[in-house]
Amino acid sequence: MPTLVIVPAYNEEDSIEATIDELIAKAPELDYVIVNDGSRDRTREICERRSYNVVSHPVNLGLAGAFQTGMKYAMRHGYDRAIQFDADGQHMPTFISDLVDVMIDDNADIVIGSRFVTEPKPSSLRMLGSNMISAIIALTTGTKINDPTSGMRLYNRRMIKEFATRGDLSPEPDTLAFLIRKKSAHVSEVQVSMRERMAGESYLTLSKSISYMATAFASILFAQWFRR
Amino acid sequence: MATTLRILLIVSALMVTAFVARRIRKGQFSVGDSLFWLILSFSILLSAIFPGVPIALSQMLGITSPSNFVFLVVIALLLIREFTLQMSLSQLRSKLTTLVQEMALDEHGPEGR
Repeated sequence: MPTLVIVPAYNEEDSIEATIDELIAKAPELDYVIVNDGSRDRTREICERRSYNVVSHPVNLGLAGAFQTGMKYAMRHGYDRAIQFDADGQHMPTFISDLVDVMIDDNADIVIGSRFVTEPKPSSLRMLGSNMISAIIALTTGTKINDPTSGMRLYNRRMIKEFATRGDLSPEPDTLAFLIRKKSAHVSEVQVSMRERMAGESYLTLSKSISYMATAFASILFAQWFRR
Repeated sequence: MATTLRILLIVSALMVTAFVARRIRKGQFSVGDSLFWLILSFSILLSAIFPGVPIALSQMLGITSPSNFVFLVVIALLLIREFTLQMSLSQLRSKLTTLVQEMALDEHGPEGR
């Protein structure tokens, strides 16, 4: 089986239609599944009206739970590769085939759609956070990842199985560090461009950013050593 | 240990026991859940009736006031309780996640796309 595009969606009524229509138009060869994570808006209704392929949670589990449902779907249907793809229009479907090509060429377990392989990182507070996470991942794994916070990541069958069967993996940078160190995952990066989000609000408020960084640090520098 | 504290301890121990007994009668508390509270109220009762026990123990540990020893024990018990509660909360959360996911996937049906 080819590649599955996993689109977690929580309250994405303003962007889901455009995102999926673009995905179908630009990458018709790919299968996709939308994981509607207990949205309270019209996301589910829109998906059903347009007869998109959608799996709906009865309650909200959060991104990690929604992405894991996608991975379980990929495993049940025997896909070789699965990619996380944002519902808000930030990710561009034309780059998916680049990621797949690199996965095959490099024999990689994970390929990250990275904003900063050939392009330089802008200097902002957000990128300072990104650099700090890069630094601690490099420190603990010896692997340099330019864009650890990119949400566009392609996983192979072995990684799909890890995500689908374990309860403690979230699609976050600390999981990358864990998979590299403890599951000897080989990670490649591909330059992609991303758009500003079409609709909705960024989830990165100040307090959330701080707790995001604290979790990443605690997980990579401490918890990782005890996980198996 | 002051008489007032002893009376307070006895009253609270009896109240805890009464609350637990009522919950058990209504079927809102399993016997396993109630065990912690019964043992707790029993030890509070014991130390209030026989203050010699906490006094001896606090002298052994070098704590000047036996009431401080009682507080210390209660705080330690609460922390242990908090920890086990958090653990069972984590387990419940992961079970709930699995349930929701399997339910959603089963409802979607076996056909791929």
